[in-house]
Amino acid sequence: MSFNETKMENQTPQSFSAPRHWIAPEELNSSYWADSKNVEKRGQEFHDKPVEAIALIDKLDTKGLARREFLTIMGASMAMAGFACARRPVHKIIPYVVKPDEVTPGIANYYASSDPETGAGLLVKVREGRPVKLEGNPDHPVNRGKLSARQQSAILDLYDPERLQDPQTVDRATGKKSVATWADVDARVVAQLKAAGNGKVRVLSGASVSDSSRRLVGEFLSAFGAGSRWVEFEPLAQDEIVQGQEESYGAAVLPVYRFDSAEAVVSIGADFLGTWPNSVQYASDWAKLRKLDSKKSKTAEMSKTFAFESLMTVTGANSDYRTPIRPGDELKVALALANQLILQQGRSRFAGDGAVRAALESYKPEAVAKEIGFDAAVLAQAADALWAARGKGLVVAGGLESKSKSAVALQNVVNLLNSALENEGQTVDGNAAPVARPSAGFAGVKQLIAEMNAGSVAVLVLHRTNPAFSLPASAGFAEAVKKVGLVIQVSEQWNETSLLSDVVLPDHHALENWGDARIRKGVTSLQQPTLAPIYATRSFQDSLLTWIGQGKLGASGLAARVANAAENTWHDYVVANWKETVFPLAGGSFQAFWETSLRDGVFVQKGVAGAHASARSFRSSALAKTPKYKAESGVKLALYASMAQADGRTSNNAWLQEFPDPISTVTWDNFVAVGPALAKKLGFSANDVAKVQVGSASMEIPVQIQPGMHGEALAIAVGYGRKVAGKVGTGVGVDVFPLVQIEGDSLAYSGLSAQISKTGKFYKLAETQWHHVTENRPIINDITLAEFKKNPAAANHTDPHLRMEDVPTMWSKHEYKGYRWGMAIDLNSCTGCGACVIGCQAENNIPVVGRNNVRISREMHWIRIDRYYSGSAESPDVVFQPMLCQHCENAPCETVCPVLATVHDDEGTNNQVYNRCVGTRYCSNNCPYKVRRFNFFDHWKSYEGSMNLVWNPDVTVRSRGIMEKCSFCIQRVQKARFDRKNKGEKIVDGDIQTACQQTCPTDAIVFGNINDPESRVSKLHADARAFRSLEILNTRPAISYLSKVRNKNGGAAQHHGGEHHG
Amino acid sequence: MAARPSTTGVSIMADTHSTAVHQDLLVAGNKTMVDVNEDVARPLENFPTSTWWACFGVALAALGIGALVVTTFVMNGLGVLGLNQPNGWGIDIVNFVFWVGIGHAGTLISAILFLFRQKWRTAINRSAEAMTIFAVITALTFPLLHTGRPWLAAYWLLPYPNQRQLWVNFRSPLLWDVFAVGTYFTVSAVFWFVGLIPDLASIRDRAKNNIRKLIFTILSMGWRGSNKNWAHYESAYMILAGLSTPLVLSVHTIVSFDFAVAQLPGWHATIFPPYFVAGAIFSGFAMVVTLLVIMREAFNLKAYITMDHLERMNKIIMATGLMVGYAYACEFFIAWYSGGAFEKFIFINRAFGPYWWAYWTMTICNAFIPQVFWWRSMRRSIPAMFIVSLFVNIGMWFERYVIVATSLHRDFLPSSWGYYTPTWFDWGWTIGAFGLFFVLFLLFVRLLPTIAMAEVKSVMPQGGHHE
Repeated sequence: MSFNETKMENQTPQSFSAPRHWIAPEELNSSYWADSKNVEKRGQEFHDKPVEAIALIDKLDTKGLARREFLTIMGASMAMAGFACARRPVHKIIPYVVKPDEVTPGIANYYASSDPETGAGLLVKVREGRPVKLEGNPDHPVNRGKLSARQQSAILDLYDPERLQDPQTVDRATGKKSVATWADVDARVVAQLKAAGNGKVRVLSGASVSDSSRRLVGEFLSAFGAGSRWVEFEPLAQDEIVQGQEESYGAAVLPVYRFDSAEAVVSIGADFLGTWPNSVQYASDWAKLRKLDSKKSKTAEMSKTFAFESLMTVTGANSDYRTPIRPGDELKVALALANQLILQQGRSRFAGDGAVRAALESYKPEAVAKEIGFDAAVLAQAADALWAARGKGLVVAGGLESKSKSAVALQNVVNLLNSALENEGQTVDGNAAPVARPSAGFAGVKQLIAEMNAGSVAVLVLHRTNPAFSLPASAGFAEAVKKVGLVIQVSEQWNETSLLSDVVLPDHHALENWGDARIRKGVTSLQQPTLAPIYATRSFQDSLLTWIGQGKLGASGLAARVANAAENTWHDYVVANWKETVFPLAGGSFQAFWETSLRDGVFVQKGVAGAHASARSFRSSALAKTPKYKAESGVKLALYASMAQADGRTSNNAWLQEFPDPISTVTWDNFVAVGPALAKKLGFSANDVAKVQVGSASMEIPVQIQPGMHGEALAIAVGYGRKVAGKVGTGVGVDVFPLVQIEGDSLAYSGLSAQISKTGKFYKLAETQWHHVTENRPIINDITLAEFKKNPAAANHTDPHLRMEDVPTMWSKHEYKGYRWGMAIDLNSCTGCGACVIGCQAENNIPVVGRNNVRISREMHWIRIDRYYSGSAESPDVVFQPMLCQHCENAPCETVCPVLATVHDDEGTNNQVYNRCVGTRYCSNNCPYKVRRFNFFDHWKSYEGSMNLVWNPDVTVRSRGIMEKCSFCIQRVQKARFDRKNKGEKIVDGDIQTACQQTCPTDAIVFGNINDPESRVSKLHADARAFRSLEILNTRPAISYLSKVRNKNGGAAQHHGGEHHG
Repeated sequence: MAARPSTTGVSIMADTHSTAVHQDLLVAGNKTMVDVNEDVARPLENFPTSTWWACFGVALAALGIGALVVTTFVMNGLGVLGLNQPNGWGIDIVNFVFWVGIGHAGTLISAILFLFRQKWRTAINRSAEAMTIFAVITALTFPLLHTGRPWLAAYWLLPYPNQRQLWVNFRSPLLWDVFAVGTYFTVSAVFWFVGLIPDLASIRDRAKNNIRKLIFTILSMGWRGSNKNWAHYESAYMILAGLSTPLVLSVHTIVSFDFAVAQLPGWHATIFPPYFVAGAIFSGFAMVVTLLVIMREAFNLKAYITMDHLERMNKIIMATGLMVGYAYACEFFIAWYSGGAFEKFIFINRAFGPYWWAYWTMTICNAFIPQVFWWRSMRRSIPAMFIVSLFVNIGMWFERYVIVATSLHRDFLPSSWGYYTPTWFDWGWTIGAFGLFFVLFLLFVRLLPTIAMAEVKSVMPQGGHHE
């Protein structure tokens, strides 16, 4: 199904003619259409803004209540109190008079689209014309049906009541803003663009993955002469990787890594499973080599992962050998590893290369290990593992937390290692990247700032970027921009940069806009709108086309042709661009090609996508600048991007603010992570407020004591402390972008020399988990590969008295004659990324509760990721365990509810009957897994105004006073049942995917019918690794977990806190 | 046996022969039968004293605070209380168990001691029964209002016929609670009222005001003091005493099931029923002592509530205190002896975890402080017994706090461990409960005879029984 028949774009004023059909008599009056506001309202999703309409219905802002209003309302409520038995007003559901094709009330439509930020393929679930959930597009070869937590949460931004709704003009001197019309704004912009003069127009935006968009911007700028440039800037850009590739191999590309064939992986400060832009694909690939079959345990193979990192990341937590280092030590570690491999062991063809030898010489593994404080044996082990798996190994580095001043040098060493290990061309694919694109690093902005200061910029167009927040103040953006004649910001939200702009234009949300994305060679995906614009917004690209058309600006190529045609929208541009550039790769009829691509959401060019590259040759000259080894000391700081907030652009998204950080479980704040040794030395305890100083910049920030941090390491997440973000995001956490240091043409986020001191203040962080070891309880199972090979059912780390597989019972067990729903969760695949948490939140209408309620353990997530440490606090092992309702056969909650509000059904699920629940909370007290969630307030009201539209109509919204919990996505079970029943069939394995399972990048979660011996879930239940949490209680959960298996030596010596039993 | 057909006369509890008790112990000060009527009816027939008004004002203010708090959270949600994810119950349930426990002493004194012919109960049984009823009323507000949707919980927990054929869950201890506490309240109220009838008739006969006379005429249900009246009355009283007696044991047994039937370590223990009953009697007697000490001072009833009465009460406090102390020790022993890791953890956590202060408050107040009653001088010292009774009340409150909060806050999965801190709303409601109880009690002492006149007369030297 596609939207190609439906034009959803705004009508631009110059193309407007009064409609033949009118809605209200005033529309017959020609003066009505003279008001461009009325024109703009046509084509919008809502004639009245939903916020206002809904606000009128369910919100009375008592703060603004005048005395008389108060008396009126009081009088009315007294009067109404007298009519206590009056019925509630009847709201009638009005059926369609003419039912639109494709729309059937109660049946969801799915449209393929893509995420313009990351290029991931989306399936947008649309109910009655409203997008309600984002899922991965299974046909997309990159993300393959999976989305990260951040990608899924974009749906909430669509309905954010604080989105920009009208064009605004800002008086930069006073900061006063006023609402304008598109016509006025366009006139002003066009006039200024015409007057700008040659080479004096700049576009500054976030990095773009859209070919059409790139082409349009280029053509737009061509109208303003040479020198008018497009600058891309991303705070989280992996430009150091691109630059390193250029120095080592000659081409500035972001390579694609093939973790699905990497049997040995060494990550040096690279969080490829967590915060890397492609983490969904990489986690999925990586997990493929971590899957185990107990039946073949004797010959089981599993990849081996080493991590050297300065803070605890998801990647480090999932690696087999994790070594804490100081921020900025990455280069030393990489060189020491290279020294170990190439010089000490004399391996690879670089062993005789003089340039290489010279660069590596001084980095003796023992010296580096001693300086940083780890056992040099781990370098030897890593080198051995990499050499043994040469051609099928991988060394990766990069990411904000390793972006020190030597970040490019680090990349060169990593490239050397990959080339030496013959991984280049095998697991490192430098040819899979799309066409070379300019770096989105700091160099471009630096030049732009210089140009602005020189007065050579007349018009600056900002799109999807917030430099006033994400650049350090020392970059001087705010001062420079004052010298620009006209600053135009195109943005979905009002932000820090808006205050520096003259005109702020509301942009479409991605789900309201057309577009395309190319993140791999041969893989081009389409983005299509799934609802008409909610507000008077206009896409950035439509604005450019409008200005080109209105101003007769003389842009080149396609832009000029489209802008001057009758069909002059961004949609027409995308179609035309595809016709010119993508269609020739496919052939056939364009209409058929377009419809197929739109329906599939992606066009995959056969033979190009996924083709294996040939190895590029490493240029030893790239190592020429390698400094000589020098030991350092002192506390170093790493800034990093958190899983939830990234660079802070989505800080008004409440789902993400309340998303527990996978490692720290902290929500709603950032903090300075301090290792236990350093905390002890400095006398910090958790929740103390510390003063962190880097150079002259300093800030106060709460302390989180993080096991697994080096004794001289600090880490703080960027993206917090937004000053202008909205009701949710403003003032959450502390902004640490001011600590970023400018190092020539790049920014240093890591390896910053820092001072930390006590302030004597206290700030309680809102954590969702307070206790971090299992106390040897039979909750998880965590073994080594050697143990697994010997006995796949091996279990350790728990009190042997508490392990009992089949508790003897006097009673007959429950009988499940038809289906019996169950789940299997592979702890060995689960990376703890938390995509399932947001998937569940979107699917099941889970409210947010706010920081204070999280502080007192009232978060509402139905699925949570429990994280347990074992071993030493300095270098712990980590296990993640998704915990949700276990749907016990003998459910303790069921027996104690006095009103039978929680009952077992004959298919094995434990159902919570919201209507019947009176809220005694006895069920929660009696639940050993504490997975039940109580509505202490009307938490659903956290979805304000237009946010109500994000609710999944298939799932009840719960009022205050009742208990809720995971339902095994019973609405999805029912849908599958009815779909099959309509065809007279039975549900087959794979028909039902729970929301958590659907989005899990590593397929750690499997749901299905346990009664079907052929189903994946029943096979996993029968696997020797399967165990059930707290089995000894005889609750008989329907969820089996599969043991975590580490590919490392040792094992039984490790234990999970407390003394070792047995 | 001589039953005297006098409305103001002496009741002859036909079969309450007692030889064990010397009657001069029971009513002191050479009171005549007329004195009894005068003394007991005096507070009813005069305008309240300023002391009463002061007390009533304080109680009413406390009740007001409670009403404010309850209104706030019923309107806005239970989130204003300190409850959270592991701690689904907090001091609302602590208060419930505490007040139900307090209620026990009343029935024990009126029913069990009656059946055991403990004649010394006559002076205190009326106020003890009143205390029972008010305590149960106070207690009942907690489980009802602490539900998420009390407007539905108020009747959805009752098995009433309905067209949707929804039924209650007979497996749930909370439902047993509804029946147990409901039955207990009904029987106690009827028992109390039946016991009041002869005295109500005495007040009626003394009434000079017509409205007063009318009200007491209705309340005394046509009591004439005839032989027939007395005969019916006494059999009714005996039957009700018989009915009440098992309830003393059943109510707190079933309240303890709220915990014992759950599988939560720290709750799931077979010792809970006897332990709870002993604790209830312990706390109930302490509360009676607290109230009586005040009452005999305030209303000058020292002749009726004598030091001997109080000493007996103190002996019971000490005995039940020992039982409770034994239960505490036994829980620890079982936690060790059973080898259950969860059980072991929860008890170590109780004594040495974050709630150590609650645990040791409980132990000191309940197990150690009542030991002073080994000394007769302490048993007979008004200040000593007053202080001890207060400590016992505090200790028993903390016992429930320890059971509810420490067991819940760290259960099976360490990932969901938390901590429970009551908020000002919790405390406001707790204060409000005391307010409700004392408002009712103060109204009772103004409006109804606080001492069973008819029964007291039966144990006076001039009364029916001369050995």
